Amino acid sequence: MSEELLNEFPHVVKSEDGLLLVEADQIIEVCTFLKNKGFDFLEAISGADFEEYLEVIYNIASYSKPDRVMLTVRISKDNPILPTVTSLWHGANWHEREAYDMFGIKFKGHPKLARILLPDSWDGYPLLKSYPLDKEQKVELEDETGVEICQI
Amino acid sequence: MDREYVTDKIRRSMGRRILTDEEVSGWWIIGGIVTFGLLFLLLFLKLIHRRNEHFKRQKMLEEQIIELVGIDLKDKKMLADLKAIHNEGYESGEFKDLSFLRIIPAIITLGLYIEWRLTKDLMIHAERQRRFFSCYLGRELEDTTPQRPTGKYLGLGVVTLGLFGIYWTNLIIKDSNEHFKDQWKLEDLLPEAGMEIDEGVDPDFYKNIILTTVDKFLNWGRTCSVWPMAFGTACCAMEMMATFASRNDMDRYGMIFRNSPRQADVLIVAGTITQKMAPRLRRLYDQMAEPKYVIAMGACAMTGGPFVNSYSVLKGVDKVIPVDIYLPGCPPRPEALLNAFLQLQERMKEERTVTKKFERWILKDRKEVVT
Ligand code: SF4
Repeated sequence: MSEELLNEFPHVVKSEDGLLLVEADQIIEVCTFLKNKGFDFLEAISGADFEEYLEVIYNIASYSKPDRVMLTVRISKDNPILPTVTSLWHGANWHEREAYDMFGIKFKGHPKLARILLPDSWDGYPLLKSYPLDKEQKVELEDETGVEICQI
Repeated sequence: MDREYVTDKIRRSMGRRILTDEEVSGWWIIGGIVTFGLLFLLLFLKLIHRRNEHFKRQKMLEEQIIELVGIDLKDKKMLADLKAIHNEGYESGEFKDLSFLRIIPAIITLGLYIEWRLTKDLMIHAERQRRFFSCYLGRELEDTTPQRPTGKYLGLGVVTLGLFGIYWTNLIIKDSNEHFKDQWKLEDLLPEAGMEIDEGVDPDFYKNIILTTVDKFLNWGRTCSVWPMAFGTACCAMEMMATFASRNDMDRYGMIFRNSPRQADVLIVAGTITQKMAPRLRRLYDQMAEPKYVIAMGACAMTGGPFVNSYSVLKGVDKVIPVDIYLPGCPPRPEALLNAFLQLQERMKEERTVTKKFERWILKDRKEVVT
């Protein structure tokens, strides 16, 4: 499959360890191409922090072939914005929310980009290397009338 | 809060004086002579009892005063002094009960033994107690208890074949009556003595057989039907399930899992609690009905365990809910959880629900009278 993809998109680079590096503005086109080729299952979207840049990894699989590709997108740390792929695979919804939760990567066009695992009041993105582990967080629970029950 | 509580305790110890410091009348002596000494035996028993009760109360009072000084902790030297004086009481045997069996050597020695012992004890006690209160009040109090030459009296008693003992017993009765009166005056000098003591009522009367029996009955019911709430968030929950499964079979202790906090008595926090979970845990705890208990199972629930350095794990559930039993281990074995439950049962047996309610009610009542 990767040969086909490389022929179609000359900007996609295959690195020596087998990753398919995709430009950030091309990701929707590449994904649409794959979807049309029968890749019907988005396994995971994960993030990674490489100090100089952030990486978003898409694992996409096909039930009919069967086949699997792994796309990698590098984005800058200062402005981590990517287009969402929820329009292609609905399963991307929560994966993208998790990437946002942990790395602060914003997915443009996402239906509801909110924190998914951490409390809403969380400050910072804990899987970034710059996040101090012992950072104090304020977590509160309020009852229906807004009276604070508990606070950590 | 603490201070108020201890002060209340002190006041109640003082209130006990109506019971312990009973005045003995001189007519006993006459009665003893008339019955050729028979009533003396009864009198001796009474004196021994009175001595024990009075010294016990004094011991309690001193302990409570030390506790109070310890709470304030303004005057460390005074605290050390008070403790030293208090400990003398142990060394001299003052705080040890005089057994009623001492009546046997008393009979053999025609009463001289018990007279000698009581006189000596009273003198030691009065002297030590005077120093204690002087230290606490910060000024020298005068010594009011007369010093009796016990050796000389003993000699006289032997020479007169115990007849001198009649006079001596009279002295003992007089001296201790005096001593009690002095002590009452002294206690009223204490800064804690502000409250009116209802002298007609036993201040401990709520600890009576009816209320304590009701408590015991309640505790029996509770300890035999401890219903834990199923709250397993991580690997520890596996061991919790094993504890309740057939091999260890907690059902035989009357422990059955409930799925609603409303029906549960114990919350077993089995597993890692994240900061997002913590408010929910607190809510579940709040939803449980009193009396409720918490077992923090495993290193995670106790301190954060292996994840203590992570960004999102709560470092000990005692940050959000009060914990009764800490159960270390990663994970603790089912036997350990079983043991934790047995410990909890021991703890539940100490509950004094009804008695405490009464106590609170009475104390509240009394305070209203004063203010
Ligand atoms: S204490 Fe150990 S076994 Fe228990 S929840 Fe934590 S990591 Fe798991």
